[in-house]
Amino acid sequence: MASPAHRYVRPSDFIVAPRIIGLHPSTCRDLIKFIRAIQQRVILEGEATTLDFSGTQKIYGPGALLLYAELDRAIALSGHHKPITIKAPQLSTPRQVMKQLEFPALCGDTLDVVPDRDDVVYWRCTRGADQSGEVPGTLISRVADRANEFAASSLRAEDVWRGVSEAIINTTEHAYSEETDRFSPHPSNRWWLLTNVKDGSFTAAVCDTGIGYKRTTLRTIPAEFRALARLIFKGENADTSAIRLAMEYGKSRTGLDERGKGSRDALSVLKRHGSGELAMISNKGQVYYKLEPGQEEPVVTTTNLPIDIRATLVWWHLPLSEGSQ
Amino acid sequence: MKQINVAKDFTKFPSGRYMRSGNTSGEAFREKFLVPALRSRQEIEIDLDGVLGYGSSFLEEAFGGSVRATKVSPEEFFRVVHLKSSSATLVSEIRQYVKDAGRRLIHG
Repeated sequence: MASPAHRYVRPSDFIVAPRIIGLHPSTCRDLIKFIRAIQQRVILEGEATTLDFSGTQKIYGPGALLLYAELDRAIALSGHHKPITIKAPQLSTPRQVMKQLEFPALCGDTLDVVPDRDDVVYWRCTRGADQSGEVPGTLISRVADRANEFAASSLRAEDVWRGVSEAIINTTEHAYSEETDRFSPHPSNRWWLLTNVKDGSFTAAVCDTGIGYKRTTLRTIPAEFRALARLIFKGENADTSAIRLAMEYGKSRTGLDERGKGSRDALSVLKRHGSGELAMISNKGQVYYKLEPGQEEPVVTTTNLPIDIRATLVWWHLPLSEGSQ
Repeated sequence: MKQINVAKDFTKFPSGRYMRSGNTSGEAFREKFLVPALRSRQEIEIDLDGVLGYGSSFLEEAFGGSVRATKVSPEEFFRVVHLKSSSATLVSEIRQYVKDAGRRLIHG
């Protein structure tokens, strides 16, 4: 009898991917259910599976990054020699995106497509498990160089680096500092980084699958500051208010040891660039900042996600052709 | 005066606070260059240009952290450590970290 690690995967053992891979409140439920089905099959049941992306039509950056992170984690925690096989999208653009982001390579598959679309070839994804700057810094540097080939106005890589490097520090210092009460975190406390240049804009996103802002802030922010924030953000969900609490604490000078500035550095990317968008998503909360050219402070919007994404993402979107300095 | 170029002598990608989390961290920079100079009172000039950028954790741990590690005053710190940068904002930020760390040494 074959061991579970070499068991044949029946054709019916497909998990069908959503039509849209995204983290927008209207699309995230399908993506998260898809991810949980993968976790159930691969991590909890120790079985292999095939992910059917044939009907996938659209892939957005934040959703792609979270999916990449979760597949990486599922593969690392599975005892199977090849737990996941990918059936690629039929449509050209999502097919190229999956190849460009190396989803097939992550799963040990090949995909016979050469990305050539302008809106695909600048997607990049990398990962790491510590705060060393070489890997993410090289990626940011290269993508910024590419961005500046297109745009009339420049992207200052040092501004982006400030936000990205601090987001990575937050992940390695805090995100995996406690046990989660669900699936195990990645064995190496990993972070994932995605960048893109598309339609005259630059995108970067950092993701982790750790405990989230709500539990992190309990440990990193003093009780009296948390109590004050509870009054200010009364009525918001716990994840949203924890994100805003971290931002306010980062802005204040009350921190005794100068820590807690990482979240503020995320917002400083917009201010230094002169305009742009920042979304901070943690479990069921999302806080979105939009800075218009000429404004000093961003407009803040909070959203309750319809499902717990069990991860944290920090996402920047910076215009390149107008609004930046 | 000894010249230190962060990009050439340390890394083009400064990142991170602690050595346990990476070799491009503020703590690693502090222990390699700042603490030895402050302990020996050997003047150094640090050229901050040429790197991808600096995060606040790196800067605070490197510069504020070296005040905590050596217990020197901000005045003594800047007698030994000279900063060279095309960004006045960056120098100002570092000065603030050093001053804040010095203030905490006094006030606890």
